[in-house]
Amino acid sequence: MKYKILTLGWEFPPQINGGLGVASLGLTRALSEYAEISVIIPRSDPRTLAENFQLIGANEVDIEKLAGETPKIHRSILSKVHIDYVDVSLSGYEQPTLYYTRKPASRPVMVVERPVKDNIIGMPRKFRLGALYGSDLLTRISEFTDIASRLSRKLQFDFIHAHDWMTFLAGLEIKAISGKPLVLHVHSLEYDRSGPEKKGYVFELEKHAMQEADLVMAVSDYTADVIENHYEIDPDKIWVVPNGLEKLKSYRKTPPFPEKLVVFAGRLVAQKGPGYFLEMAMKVLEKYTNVRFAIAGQGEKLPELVQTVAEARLGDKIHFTGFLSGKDLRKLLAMADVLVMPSVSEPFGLIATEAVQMGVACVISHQSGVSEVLKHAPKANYHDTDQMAAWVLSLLNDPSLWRKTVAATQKDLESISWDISARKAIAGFERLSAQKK
Amino acid sequence: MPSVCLYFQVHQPYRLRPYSVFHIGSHHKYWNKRQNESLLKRISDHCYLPANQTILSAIEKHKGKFRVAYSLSGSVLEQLENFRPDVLDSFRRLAQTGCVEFLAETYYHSLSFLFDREEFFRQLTLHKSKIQELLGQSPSVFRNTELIYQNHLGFYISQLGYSGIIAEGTQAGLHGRSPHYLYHPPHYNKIKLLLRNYALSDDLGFRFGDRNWAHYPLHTDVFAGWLASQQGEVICLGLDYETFGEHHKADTGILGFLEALPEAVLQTGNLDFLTPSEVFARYEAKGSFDASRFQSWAGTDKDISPWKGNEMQEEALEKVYGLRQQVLEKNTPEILREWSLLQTSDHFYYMATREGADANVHAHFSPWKSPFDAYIHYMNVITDFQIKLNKV
Repeated sequence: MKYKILTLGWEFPPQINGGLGVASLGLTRALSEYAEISVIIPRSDPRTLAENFQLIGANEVDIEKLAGETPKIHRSILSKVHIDYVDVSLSGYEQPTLYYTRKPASRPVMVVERPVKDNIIGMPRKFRLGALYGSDLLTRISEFTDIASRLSRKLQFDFIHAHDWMTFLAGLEIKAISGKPLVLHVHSLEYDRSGPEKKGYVFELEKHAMQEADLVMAVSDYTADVIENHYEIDPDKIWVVPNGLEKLKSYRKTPPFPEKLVVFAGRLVAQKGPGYFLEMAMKVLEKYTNVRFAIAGQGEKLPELVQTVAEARLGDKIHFTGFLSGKDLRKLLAMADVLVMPSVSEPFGLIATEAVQMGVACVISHQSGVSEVLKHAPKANYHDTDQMAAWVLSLLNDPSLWRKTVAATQKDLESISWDISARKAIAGFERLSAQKK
Repeated sequence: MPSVCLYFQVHQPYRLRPYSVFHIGSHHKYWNKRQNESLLKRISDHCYLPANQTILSAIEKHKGKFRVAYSLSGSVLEQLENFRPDVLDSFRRLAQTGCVEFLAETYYHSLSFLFDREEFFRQLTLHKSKIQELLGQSPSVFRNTELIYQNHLGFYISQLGYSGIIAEGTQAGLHGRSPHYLYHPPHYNKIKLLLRNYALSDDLGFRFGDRNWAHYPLHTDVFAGWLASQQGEVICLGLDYETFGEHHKADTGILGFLEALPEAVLQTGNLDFLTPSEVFARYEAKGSFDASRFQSWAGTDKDISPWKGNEMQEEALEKVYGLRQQVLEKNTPEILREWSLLQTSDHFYYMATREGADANVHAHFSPWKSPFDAYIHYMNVITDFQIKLNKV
């Protein structure tokens, strides 16, 4: 007998802005070989390929036909916590401009007053279309919780599998209604996004949900450590399910300029360490001039980064690309010699696996999940820009080291696949099942 | 009887196209041809043509009593030649009335005086011959980009044989004295300075369309009354020409205001119109105007910070002027022209990071979404230009 799993997702390709959507889909597809899966997401898109599982978009659900009362649990959670801001790192995702002008760097974090009222929960007819992230994220989460929990009454399942904090309330709600075990899948944490010192509402929600959950799946040992040590979750409840690999069509492209190319790719937020990338770049340029740097991505740090580059008079050496589509990002990687990922805290680090596949040598921070996979990649602590610069210089100066690094890290990737991840996840469900008996 | 000296600044830059890291080294097409052409055509229809017609009618009606001056940049003249020869013809008709004076400026509307005196001289010479070629005049009065001025500019320009300079009547230089007299640089009386009255100029340039302004809507006879009540010898009003129909759209009544202004001014009975060179011929300098620091007509601070006020602007300016030697070594017309167009002050204006009222003015004129975009794309172009210069 295959398990029946009710999966709660937030991002699903093509509705993505980072690794979460890619990984949710990759894992769900692979799991569908071993289990019967129904997925509820905020918005379904006809372009999503759901070959082997049922995909339900909350935007398609007709609320009138759903049975059940307005859920109570998430209402009580929401009203217990004083919600006085919406996390700015989420509301700034994916604006079409290079610089998100509504939030100048000189101003303090935008404060959105969001008093808890009954009408947040309300009775939405359909999940409102629009951005997955934004200033009314909590309203969307509340609406999603409402719809998903009512929908769950009509579905048969053995486990609830909820991906990241936006779906955790729905997971708790459905657990309360159905009595089925709740498995949380952690792709990224507030600890990563906002740093250890900022423990706001999202952190509290994550912690509460993990305490209530029956099992917490983490995408890396790194993330499992954070869950244990910073969220104080019982390590026996934590189960590591490493991410698989999104296979890319690999190609190389000669850049139109004569210099070598070193790339940063990621949102321009503190978590991704773009400032350390700049420090590293300046140290490299002191010793090696035949190189350009490209910073691909956008975010609240852009003004500060640009001004730092200008102050150093390196605007003709360090180039900002703004947000790149997947196609353009791969084109940039195809031209790149080295990718540096100086993430301060990175549960996984999908970009490094993409870069390796595109034939780029990667220098990655120890504070990343992907460092467990890319055993042969040169590594440094995220703040150790001397070490990072030394690695980049070695790779630029020594073609044979560069070739060996690319080949060895490509071999490293052979150790992961979504099928391996799915089997690891199934083992987790099995363990849970055995415990319950 | 004070004289009114009215001059209009006419300039359109060649704006850059979005130029990403993928373009560097792959092609050298820097200019946003479509945008430049469509903006020029729009502004020609909304402003240049109707305003020129209004000025021409007023000159004909008042038989020599209404007189004005224009400062046309080389880059707007070129674009008019290419895309709107009809507008150029209308400027020629104005030139033929004998009541219109054309002023000297840098061909590329650049900040070259700040960075490279030889380049500044080259652009002045180039501009002079362009005005001679297209409009049949040889300018004798100088007006620097955005009225940027400093004492040294006075000495330099006088040695080139110009009769006077127009500068902003800043409080820092006037120390409470009236802008309605001519002045000279400290300890140097070989050149005269005509000072723009920014309060009265800004009534038209900025406040005219402001519904919250106490004098909104401003009537011509009220404004003429303000002019007539001024003491002194000359009231200099300087405006972006685009004020008439572009910055203030036609529905604000700005073109009607322009049409009625000459008659209203002349009817006061104690005002006349003079062009700048006529002002310099009629009046003597009354005192010294000390601008030891660079001043300009822009913003609230009247300094050069709108172009050279942050690190992005500083780097961009350093990099473009730093290419001088390589550009001269290449010595091709195409390279020289591209380098010159990259010096146009507008590129640096778009990079200004300012707050408050000035920020809105910057944003209004910028084709970029933010000053950071302006810098990023400009620096990508500079990078490609460097690569091009380094090729044999």
